[in-house]
Amino acid sequence: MNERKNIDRLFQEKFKDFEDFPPANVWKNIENQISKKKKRRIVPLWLRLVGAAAILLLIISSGFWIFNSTDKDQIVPNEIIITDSDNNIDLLNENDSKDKIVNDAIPSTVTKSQEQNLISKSTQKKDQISVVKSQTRDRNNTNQEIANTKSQKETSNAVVATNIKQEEEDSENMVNKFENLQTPEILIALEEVSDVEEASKKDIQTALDKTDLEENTLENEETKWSIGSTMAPVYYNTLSNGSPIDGSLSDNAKTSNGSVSYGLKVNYKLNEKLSFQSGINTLELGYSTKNVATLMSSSLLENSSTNIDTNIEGVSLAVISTERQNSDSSIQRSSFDDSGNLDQTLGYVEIPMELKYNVLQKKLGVNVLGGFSTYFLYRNQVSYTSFGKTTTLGEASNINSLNFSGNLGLDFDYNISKKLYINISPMFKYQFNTFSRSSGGFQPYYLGIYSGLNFRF
Amino acid sequence: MGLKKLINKCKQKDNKAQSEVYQLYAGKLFALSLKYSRNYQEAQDNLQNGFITIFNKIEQYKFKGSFEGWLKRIVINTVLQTYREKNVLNLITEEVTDEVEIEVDDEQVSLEFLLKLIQELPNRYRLVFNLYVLDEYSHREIANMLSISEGTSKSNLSRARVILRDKIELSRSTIKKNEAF
Repeated sequence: MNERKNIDRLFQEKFKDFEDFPPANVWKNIENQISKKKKRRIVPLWLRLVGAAAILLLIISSGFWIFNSTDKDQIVPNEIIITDSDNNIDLLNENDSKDKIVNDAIPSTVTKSQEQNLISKSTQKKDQISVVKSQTRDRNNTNQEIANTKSQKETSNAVVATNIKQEEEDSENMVNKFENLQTPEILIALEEVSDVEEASKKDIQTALDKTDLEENTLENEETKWSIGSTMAPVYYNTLSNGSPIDGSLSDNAKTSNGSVSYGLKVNYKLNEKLSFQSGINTLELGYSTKNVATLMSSSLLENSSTNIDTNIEGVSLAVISTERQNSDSSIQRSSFDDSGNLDQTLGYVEIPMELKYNVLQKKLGVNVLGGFSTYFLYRNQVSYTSFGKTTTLGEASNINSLNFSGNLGLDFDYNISKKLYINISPMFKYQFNTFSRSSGGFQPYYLGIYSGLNFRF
Repeated sequence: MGLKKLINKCKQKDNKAQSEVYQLYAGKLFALSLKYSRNYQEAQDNLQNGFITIFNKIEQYKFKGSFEGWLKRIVINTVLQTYREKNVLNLITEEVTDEVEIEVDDEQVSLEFLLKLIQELPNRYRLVFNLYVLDEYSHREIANMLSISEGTSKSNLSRARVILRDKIELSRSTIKKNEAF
């Protein structure tokens, strides 16, 4: 007979060098789980390349900007054109008899320009359709993603379900245990209920802390995407004098017609610090050139430097600053309209590609944004307003239907809840190939203060 | 390769290093997981989840304290977490019995048999017994880990001991009976 032994020591000695190698499938499962995370990283890698391209483009565009602003030579040929057009105008004025034709031509241009408006509208619609298409494509993608996450959720539900089952089994066990206990023990157990309550309170507290923690880690791992709306008042302006409409209007005062850009934004978190942001915005840029007089004529102003395309055969258009009109007596006598504003409106669909770098993440997040945007022109209109009357003159002929901008700005995020946050983001966007030719040194940029409500998922 | 170098490679998500760490510690950690789980399958799941946590959080190991201790703590926490999620730990409670020395005859009891006995213990008894007797946590620490009072921890331990002794004794008497026939 062996000596009696403390039960603790019996177990301690037996289990001291206890080792048991798990079956091979355990490592396979672990390996799969770890490498799955690596596979998931392939997409961000691709996005990182896009981000790198965005930064590169930003650098190139800023280089362009510096290059352009030092290269004043560009303006010189425009000035030559101005003198040319002056000659034209002088020639024109010597021919007083032609005035009549000019006056006759005006009504017809007005109606024709309306027609032309219709045309531009229909092209606009086409653009919109293509936009809608791309949106639906986007939607399909997100639908797929939603389906994926749903299936994930289902599996996790299944896991929960099995857990619950086990729990039920456990509680059954417990009940059995309880039944096995002798009655005095139960009585004392009842006395201890208060202690239990306290303990369970503690349990709940720690459980809450736990879930908080888990949610935090979940947030880090799962809520990589966010989607939101954007709305921004936009101020369009130029870095230098110049007029894309007519070189002779370079020195006229120009003001931005405040307009609004709005759209959708998608954000993908690459890592703790960096996220990639894209979306789709509509953008209407407008500015007006003050103190302009216009003249319409058939076949007289062929050599005018004006970049307005009236699309009407045999009719051309000249614009001139009122300052010149007043100072030059020969022009004064001509049939130029009275002083008014020349308005140019450009409508774009903007696709921004931006990288967001997190500088500070508290309740309020501070980020730096940089990237570029691609613009698709869908609206292009030049109109003239004098004495409260607006006439559509036509469209600018020197606008590229596709152009780009370099973007730079700040972004402030404020979390309303774990899922919702609002952001406000002042952005500077410098357009660098708005005009295909003779922009007269006009270097457009715009400032927008983008704000929106965003949803993380 | 030194352990430190191996750990650093794991921090860089090096596949080979991860496999090596697994080979080095899987035996000990699976044994640990077996003690804390109710059966072989559950022990596999716990080990698997524990290792996934280990490799995901390995950059948090700052070479303070032994690596093995760190690994063990993660596996234990993984197990505890599954019970916290199921929220079954606070279902039983009873009076604090006095700490009496519980003794058994030290005959040929197999490790497998003892492991089975541990696994058959109610969840919280098993956890408390493992933590206190086999992994040398104090009642205070156990109380914190399981969100119970120290008194509950102590009473759970003595209940566990009683159950284990009874089962060992029972098996012995049946063996003896069998021998008698």
